[in-house]
Amino acid sequence: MSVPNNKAIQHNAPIAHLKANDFKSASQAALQDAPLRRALAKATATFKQRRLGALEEVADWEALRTHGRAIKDETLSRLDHHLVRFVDQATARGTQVHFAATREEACTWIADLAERLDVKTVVKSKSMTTEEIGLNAALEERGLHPVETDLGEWIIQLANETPSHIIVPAIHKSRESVAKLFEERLGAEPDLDAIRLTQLAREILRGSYLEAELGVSGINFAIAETGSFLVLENEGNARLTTSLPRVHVAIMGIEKLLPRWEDLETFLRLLPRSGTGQHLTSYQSIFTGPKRNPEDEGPEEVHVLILDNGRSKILDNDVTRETLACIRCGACLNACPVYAQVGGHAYGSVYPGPIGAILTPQLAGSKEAVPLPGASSLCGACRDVCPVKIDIPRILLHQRNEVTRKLPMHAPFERLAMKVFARMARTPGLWHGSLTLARPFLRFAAGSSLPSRALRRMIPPLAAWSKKRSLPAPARHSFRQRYRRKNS
Amino acid sequence: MSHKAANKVRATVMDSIKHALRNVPAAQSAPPQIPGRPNPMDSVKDLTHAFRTRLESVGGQVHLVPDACGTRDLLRTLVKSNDWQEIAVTDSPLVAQATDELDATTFQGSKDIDRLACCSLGITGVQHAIAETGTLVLFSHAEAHRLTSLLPPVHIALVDQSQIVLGLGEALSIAHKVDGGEPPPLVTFITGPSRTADIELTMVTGVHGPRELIVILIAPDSF
Repeated sequence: MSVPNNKAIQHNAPIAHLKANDFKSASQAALQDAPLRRALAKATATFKQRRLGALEEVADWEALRTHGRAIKDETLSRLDHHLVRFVDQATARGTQVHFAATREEACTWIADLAERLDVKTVVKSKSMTTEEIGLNAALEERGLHPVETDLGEWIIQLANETPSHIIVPAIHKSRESVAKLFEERLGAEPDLDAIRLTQLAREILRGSYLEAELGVSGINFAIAETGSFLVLENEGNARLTTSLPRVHVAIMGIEKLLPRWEDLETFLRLLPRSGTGQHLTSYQSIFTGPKRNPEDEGPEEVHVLILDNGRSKILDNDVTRETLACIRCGACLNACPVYAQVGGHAYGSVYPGPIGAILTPQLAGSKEAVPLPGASSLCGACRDVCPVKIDIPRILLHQRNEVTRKLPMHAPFERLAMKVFARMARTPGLWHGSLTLARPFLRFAAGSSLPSRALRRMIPPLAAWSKKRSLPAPARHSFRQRYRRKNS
Repeated sequence: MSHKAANKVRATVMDSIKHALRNVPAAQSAPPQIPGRPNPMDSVKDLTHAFRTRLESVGGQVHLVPDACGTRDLLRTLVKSNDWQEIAVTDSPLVAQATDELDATTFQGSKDIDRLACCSLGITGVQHAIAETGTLVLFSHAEAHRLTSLLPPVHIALVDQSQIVLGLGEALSIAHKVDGGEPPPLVTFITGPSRTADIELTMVTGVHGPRELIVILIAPDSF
């Protein structure tokens, strides 16, 4: 399934290309897309299995998660202090630090810089934050030529689509469709295999690297103590992006900080294992300022752009603040039974899956993403795999609550129904009596006979609920009845 | 953006963060004990073995040699059998020593990027290696490794057994203060060849960086 990428920034929503309110129709379309579902099933199963393999070698994974979360809590609770420290330390080492309150400000700042440097080609390594702000579209509007260099991101850019997974952006595309894309857009030979496709990407992108004078990367972790930052990857494209161009711009959300250099150790054990199931990705680069002598390698200028774009609002909420502890590993996507069925595009946000379901409404406003908190069975798999123990189901419930409160039409009826239910549940006689009465009715309604199906369709809430689900039939006798009979 | 406007944006963002945290008590500092560290190893031989096993598990090739002579012999054999003509090297004196008798042209990679982009092999030293993860650790202030370890399709790294440290913690702790009490402009960790699985999860090496990573490890204790 592909979502066409509208070139212009469509509206002022804080997330680029946001279509989260189409979740229902988009997920239904995804469910009909057999190749997509095969790709998703393979990918999510593979990543889940690799992650488990990578955890086995760690003596105490739980202690590691607890430690990672403690560092994040410490950071978030004094984020102002750590940010000031980061700015001071980075500046002292020659890095230029800038802020952007909104995505427009961030895009404008980068485009202005490119114009000031008089560059046309901008090479980019993979960064979810640049996807969030819609950087490519904004640069193109200003006549610049942004080139994604991560293979998956480049495929997506050539196909004019948006990523469907945080770690593997082109997870939804088959080898055949990539081969066809390269044939159409690059004049490649037909039906190349994955190795030849990758080689072709290497050759073409080398050209872009050698001509680009501005490289844009993301940041995985920034260190307040030294003003340094770390980028993790497997391909080497982030190393090229940050080594060849004269100027390096790294962009991060305000929450990417860690207080101390030594904190990297814990997150280097947590992130690759959770993301791709590797004990370490092929490359980590830790940057501390530009090159010091003209004859050295590396960029002459290093800029860090720190983005708020709604994050301080999330910080201001005691219930949902922990959303900002996320390190974007993607483990919750792979673990989620909903994501595994519908894929990333259905969420209509660059942040899909369970983390996207809680992050998107908070960044963009709950009105822009009404269905997302409902896109979960609350099974808790996301919470269990999260390397920093974010309680995603709890936040989803909180957001459902908020959404329901704002629905004036449904609220009185639901409130009354819940009141009646609460009274029944608290009155044992009433509870057992009504269950005894309801049991044969529910058994009939759950049946597959024609009258049963007709009945299901006639009762409005049951009709809506059972449209996509089978109604489970209650047992003939309750547990209490059977227990009593057995013991009498 | 003018200086004044930039300061205003910074103040806006910082004020919203301060406002958001106005009633939030400072969370306790994370405990200083770092979990998940590897068990200590007694001998250099064990460290060498762990490093080698780890790196080979992700597709790196590791050759053990007993001494510097072994390195030179092996390099000569590899260069001959692969017919490598143009070889980029770093400014490391160890690399210069190991390559001075090669039957090929060598040049300093960081000084000629166009030539580097076309050559078939880059040879670097390393500053440290990590047994826990099979990782090479390079510092930009110690060796101009940035592009020579990245652009050519094959990267050969020369390592001495004395450079192997136990874990990520030890390596990070060295890197933290290594450049006159500071981190160097760039710390690079390399664990295996460049790889991608972006097309149907098919593993392909050499997407942007080297498709082959060969480590020649001087390890007298392992002989």
